[in-house]
Amino acid sequence: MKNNLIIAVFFGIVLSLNSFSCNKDKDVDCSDGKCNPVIKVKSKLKFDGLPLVIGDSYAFNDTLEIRFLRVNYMFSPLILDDSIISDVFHFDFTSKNIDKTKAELGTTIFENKINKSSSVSLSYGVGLPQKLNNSRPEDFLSSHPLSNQSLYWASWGSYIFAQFEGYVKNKRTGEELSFTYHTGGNESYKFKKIPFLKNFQPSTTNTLNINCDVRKVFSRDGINFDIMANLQNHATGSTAVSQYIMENLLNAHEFILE
Amino acid sequence: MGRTIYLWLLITIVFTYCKPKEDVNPLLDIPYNPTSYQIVVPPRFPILEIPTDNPTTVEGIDLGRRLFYDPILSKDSSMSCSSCHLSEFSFTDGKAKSLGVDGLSGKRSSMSLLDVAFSYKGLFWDGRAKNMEEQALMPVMDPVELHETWPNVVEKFKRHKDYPTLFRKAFGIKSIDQITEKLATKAIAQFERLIISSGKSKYDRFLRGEVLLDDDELDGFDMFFNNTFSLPDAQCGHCHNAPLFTTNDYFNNGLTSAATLNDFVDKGRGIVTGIALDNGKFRVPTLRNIVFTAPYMHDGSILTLEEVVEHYSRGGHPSINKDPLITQVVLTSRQKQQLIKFLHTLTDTAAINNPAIQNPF
Ligand code: HEC
Ligand code: HEC
Repeated sequence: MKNNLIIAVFFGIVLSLNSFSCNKDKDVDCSDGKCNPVIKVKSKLKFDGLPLVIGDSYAFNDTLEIRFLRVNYMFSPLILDDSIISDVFHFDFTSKNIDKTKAELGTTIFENKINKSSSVSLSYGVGLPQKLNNSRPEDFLSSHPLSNQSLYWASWGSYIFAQFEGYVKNKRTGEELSFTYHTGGNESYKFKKIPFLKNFQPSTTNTLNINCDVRKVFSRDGINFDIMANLQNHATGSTAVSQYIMENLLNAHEFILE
Repeated sequence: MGRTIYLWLLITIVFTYCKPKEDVNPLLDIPYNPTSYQIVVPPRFPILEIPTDNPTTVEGIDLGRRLFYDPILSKDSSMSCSSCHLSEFSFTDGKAKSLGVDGLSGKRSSMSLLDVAFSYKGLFWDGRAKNMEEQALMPVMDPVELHETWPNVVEKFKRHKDYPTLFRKAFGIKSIDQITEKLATKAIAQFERLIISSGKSKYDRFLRGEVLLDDDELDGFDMFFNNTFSLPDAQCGHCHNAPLFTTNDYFNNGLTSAATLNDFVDKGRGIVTGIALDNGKFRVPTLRNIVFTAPYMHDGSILTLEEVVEHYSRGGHPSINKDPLITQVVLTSRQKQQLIKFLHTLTDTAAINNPAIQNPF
């Protein structure tokens, strides 16, 4: 008698477990955002569509070869519709794009659940919006990208929004000269909103690649920037080059959801 | 009933056996009641981040200070940390390359410890130590520095007349067996955080509007930070940015020429990261108290500030990854002097004369 009861209870448990697992798909508990999609943001740097490797040379025009030794910039914010994914990213490729494989793979800069299943628009800025740019490195803990003393320029009262530095070499004469472009100042901040009609897969990782093609930063309407005539722009007040670079940088981005 | 008697007997034996043992541990009679210590950070400095597992206390600093100045940390009791980090040289040693207990020369120059507490991007010229607690382990074991082993040092602490008490007061150890190298280096790090700018240099007072810079110093300041179109841009501020006069990042400032990335005599940062483009890069040193830290650079190869400015003005020596900011800067001899005069405004004697960081012995 006792044994029968135990057997019955045992079967009861097995059956109920079974029925749970068979109905799994229908009964998934998606409350409290449990099935929200995960967004992984990756940044990639290219030159003429190829992965840009720090230190490698690329043809800039018929006579000049260009190689970059430092590339970094502020990307702030990243917004899907009206949900802020991040206030500020500092895209720093200098120690990341050290070989072709790494450059091709890109750098994961963010991975988190988001509270939406689809989007119709994406907004982003390059540089820092005024509110953030009014802060200073000493306002942040060292884990925050804006704590970096290398990225602040006191005489502008601004963060350095972008740094593109390296060498250009004249293939005919062999002469090599360094270039340094630093941008900053509230007027250099650029922001735009683009259509971004996407459905995100729930409960799984959706990769958003943010690709920047540096060729587009140094050319506009098919005309290349005159590097030899402007090897540096970080002198105070040279806002024309700063504006040119930041406008181009804004438009040099594409967003691809994998 | 009979059983209970036996039980009581046993308990009494255990207690009478244990009690005298407790009595002979005098450490427990010393109160453990550390007083927390607030380090004064000059205005506009970065946030002072202190590891949660090593809060600064009066007792911790006291122990750390003794350890820093005590040759007990070396193989033959001939050297201490302070042998290569002397307060009068802003905690460097005035030598091109430091000599260890065996008279052997290290490959690099001693580093200033001023404001070392803000070195959040790694310590040493190449950044191989993550934080100050980790860094302090290394000189003891380094054959060209103190050339000792930590187990030996810990044994010496245990036998010492004062250290068990000091460890008890600082960290609440319950027996001498709890003295460890980890606690010793925590104490040293607490002490080193006190080697901090006072905010009383001429430059700092100028920023607060308390004094004026003279015309030469002001021109030097403007060239250093590229504040004006009318003077050459000396580029210094990019790497030696205020307030620390270092960004604590790693650069190749053209100190040595190298035909390929593998030809640097000292590969510096590249050894730590394994990235070839980091070869020949070194952490930017602070320029605060620069008048006290000659000879200059990681290899002590530049003797004077005049030569340093010459080096930068020429644009350094060629190499594939020489920093693009290091290019020829045309400066008149007057302008070079003005830059140096500005560097003198970074002198902070109050910081290094602070009685709290001098030799306690
Ligand atoms: C023989 C001389 C010598 C002795 C003794 C010595 N140091 Fe140093 N110290 C140096 C040298 C040289 C460097 C730079 C080494 C390098 O970068 O490879 C250095 C670097 C440092 C740094 C890094 C500073 C920075 O900004 O990154 C700290 C901190 C330091 N020492 C603390 C200590 C402590 C604590 C002791 C005692 C436990 C000690 N040193 C003993 C010579 C010495
Ligand atoms: C590209 C970054 C960069 C720039 C620009 C730069 N420095 Fe440096 N500076 C460094 C690095 C890195 C070191 C350490 C190099 C080494 O030891 O190999 C250094 C070392 C020094 C030292 C020696 C400090 C010591 O304690 O040994 C002085 C002095 C100095 N720089 C002054 C200047 C001045 C003045 C300027 C402007 C004319 C300047 N620097 C521009 C990166 C830079």
